[in-house]
Amino acid sequence: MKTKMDFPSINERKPEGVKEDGSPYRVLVVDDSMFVTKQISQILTSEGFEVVDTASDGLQGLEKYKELYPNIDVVTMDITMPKMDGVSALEKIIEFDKEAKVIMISALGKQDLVKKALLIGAKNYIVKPLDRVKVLERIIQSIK
Amino acid sequence: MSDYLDPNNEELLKDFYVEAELQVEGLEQNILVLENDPGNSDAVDEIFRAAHTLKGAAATVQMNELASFTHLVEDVLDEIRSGNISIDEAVIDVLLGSIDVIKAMLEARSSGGVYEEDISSIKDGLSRILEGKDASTPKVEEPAAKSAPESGEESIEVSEVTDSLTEYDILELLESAESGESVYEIKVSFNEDHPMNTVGAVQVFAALKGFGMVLKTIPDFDKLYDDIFLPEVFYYIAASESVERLQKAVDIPGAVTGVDIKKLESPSAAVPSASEAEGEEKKKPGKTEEKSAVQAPPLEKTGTGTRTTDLKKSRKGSSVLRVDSKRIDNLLNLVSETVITKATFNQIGSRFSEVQRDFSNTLKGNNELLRKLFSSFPGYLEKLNNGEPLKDIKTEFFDEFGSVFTMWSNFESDFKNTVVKLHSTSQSLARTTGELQEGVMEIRMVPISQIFSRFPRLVRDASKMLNKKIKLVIEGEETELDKSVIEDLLDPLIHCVRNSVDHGIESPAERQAAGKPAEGQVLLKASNEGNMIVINIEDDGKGIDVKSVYDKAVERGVIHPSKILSDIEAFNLIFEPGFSTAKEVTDISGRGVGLDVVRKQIEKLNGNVSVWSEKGKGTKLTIKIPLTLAIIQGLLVRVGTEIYAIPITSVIDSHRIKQSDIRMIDNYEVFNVREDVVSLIRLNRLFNIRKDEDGEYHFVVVVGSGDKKMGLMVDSLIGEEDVVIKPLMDKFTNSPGIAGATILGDGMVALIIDVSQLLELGLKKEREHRQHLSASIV
Repeated sequence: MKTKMDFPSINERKPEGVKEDGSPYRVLVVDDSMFVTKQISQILTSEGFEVVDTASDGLQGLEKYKELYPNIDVVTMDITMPKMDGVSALEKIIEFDKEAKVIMISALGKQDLVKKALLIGAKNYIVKPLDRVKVLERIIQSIK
Repeated sequence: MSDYLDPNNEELLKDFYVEAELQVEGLEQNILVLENDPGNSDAVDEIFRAAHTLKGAAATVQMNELASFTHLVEDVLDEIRSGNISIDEAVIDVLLGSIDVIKAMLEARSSGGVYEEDISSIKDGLSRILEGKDASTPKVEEPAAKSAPESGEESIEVSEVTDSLTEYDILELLESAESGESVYEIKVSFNEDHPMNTVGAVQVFAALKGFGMVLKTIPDFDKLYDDIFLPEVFYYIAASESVERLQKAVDIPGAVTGVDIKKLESPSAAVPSASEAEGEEKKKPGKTEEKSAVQAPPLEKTGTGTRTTDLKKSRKGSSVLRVDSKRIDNLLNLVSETVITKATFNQIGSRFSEVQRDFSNTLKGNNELLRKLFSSFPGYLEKLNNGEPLKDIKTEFFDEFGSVFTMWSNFESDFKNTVVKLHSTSQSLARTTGELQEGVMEIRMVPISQIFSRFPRLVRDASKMLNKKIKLVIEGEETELDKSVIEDLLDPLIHCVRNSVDHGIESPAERQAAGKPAEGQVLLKASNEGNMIVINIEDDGKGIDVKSVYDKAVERGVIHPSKILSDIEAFNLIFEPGFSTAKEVTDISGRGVGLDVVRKQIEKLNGNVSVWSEKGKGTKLTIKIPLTLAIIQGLLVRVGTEIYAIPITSVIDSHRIKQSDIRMIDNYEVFNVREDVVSLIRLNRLFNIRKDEDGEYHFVVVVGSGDKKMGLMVDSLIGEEDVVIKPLMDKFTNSPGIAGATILGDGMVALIIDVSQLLELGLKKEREHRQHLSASIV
């Protein structure tokens, strides 16, 4: 006999990273720091998101976005990166897909770049050091 | 701060250290690039980026001392990047000093502590740079110390701008709304404690932009864009959306604390709220954020400049091995091949059991037939006696037992086939394992740049301390080498380079007097040479003075005064213990440990080091080491019943000699190889193996390291083979002349001979013997 059927779990919460139809939200993480990439991925996957790919600079991020499109829901984008910085990559992504949901990741001290990114069309921003609650809150807010 | 980062999240922390190390290395390299080429904006960008990333990561893992210090460094870098500080030697010195502090902080953290040294002097240095900039270009972005008063000034300006909306303004706003749209006044209060609290105003603006036209903001949009925290902002938007939807869009969690939306209808309604706004603004100066010192540089400067090739790329970390995924794919490929081969072996195994069953069946048939033969024998004899014709009996006999000739043929062909298959499969297994071995070795290969990258800084610091001008040229840094070798190579290399800088290169004055350019050059070069890596450390300094070396050696008792030395032998004396030709001990080199330590360490790596020099022109140290330590090519030899492996790299040649070729000099057995006289060591005597010594022929393997040679007498040569070195347990390592052990194909253990130790052993004996002799003469 399966006990589970008799006692429905009342504490069960639907993970936030899962859509209505049960499939996970797909995230592309663009960050030149392997450490940050890993951290974001850990936070997101723990909440049911699927990190479909990662990129280590803006150019790669842009290419991967184009490659993945339309099977991509959210992009997290670092601002300071080699080759192509996050703001330029954002600009190119928005050019390619007006509806793209891009969330900027920035360290303190980059206010004007964050502002610029928001005006270009970034959905939100997250300030490093990354905090689990904030990361989830911001990302969920921008996809819902 | 971050509730996410669990201190037990070891994996993440490990990544942090690996990456931090890379950033620090990148910082250092690029600062050195900058020193030589202050205009290199790519290097500046790279430095800035590395410091920035490091700061972010440090804050995440809650290393606050590191984060705040890096922040300070970043401030200075930012000013450099925006061109407000020009790079000079003092700036470079302070930056390099800061990197040392960062390194120390990282080290303290990784060993579990927190860095607590006094860093105020370096902090002072950093803020002096900032202030210096401030004096020369006072108008550009404010440094930390000045932020408070300046932002005060600014906010006065702000309040001037926030004039209340006049009736006319409101009318104008209403007019600019298109039909079907209403104009809303949205009052948004922001949370000052939110990180980047100055961004919220723009974020709300961006959010509203999606709903309609933002007609006006108070304060002005330009002010929103400035880096000053605004507790409250009014937005005027023409939109056809409902109030609820606007409310939802504007209420950004964390950043926004309150939203108040009003529909603008008549001028009279708007006036009070506008004056209220003014009141809010007036309060502002006190609240203005004081941390606004960190200003990002002008936007266009953060462009997407691609890195040029002269920029040093980040190097690989040292405790974690980063491997090209192609190499792993290759390995995987080979592993799958091995799996297939394993399956084939299984098949062959079952074939063999089939064949064996076949064999027993056939054997059974065979035996039965034989039994029948024996039992029917008397019958045949009887028949013969009864006078039956021999021909009939013969025919009957063949009919009955003729099958004995053919019954084995089936089995034989089956057996043959299976054996052939076994052979071919084991051959392919041998090939795959060979490749597999190579593949795994390749994984351990890392570019030597990992250690070469430390030298620019080292040479810079040393030459500065010694007041010399030295250019370091690095070549072949992409040469790959086993990771374990590379780690052990660093110290000897540092020693050699220091030696060149300190003793080799002369002071600028001396150099000019000798007609050489004032700037000396040290070349550090790595290259592949077969299975060996060759590293050259070459300088264009004063060279080794053979005479002073000789005198010193005699004085120190390293050699006997009567000994005649060739130049090469004299050069090699510098590797002798307790030998240093520098007149005085300096900080850089000559701290009592000499080049003998270098030689010892290199020989531990199965390598050798040699020196060549020309007086007045320079010195060249050549270090040769095998690509890997785990597997060597060995010459297997037999002594009595024991088998020994001699590293092939130290084997010069081998000879078969007669007893009569051995002559005695000074009570030593020697023999002639062409013009050379080589002394002999009988391995059986050395290792106390009992055996008959009076064979007609002896085999001699001539081994050498550096310029020394010696013949090892063995019973027979077995052949060359790759041997995997297994270290010996500590208690056995005392036995001189043994480097390790290996397991041979048949499971026997063979000891590996340490040639350099043997040579030393022989030499020591020789020296003792001489001393003994000379003492007895006196």
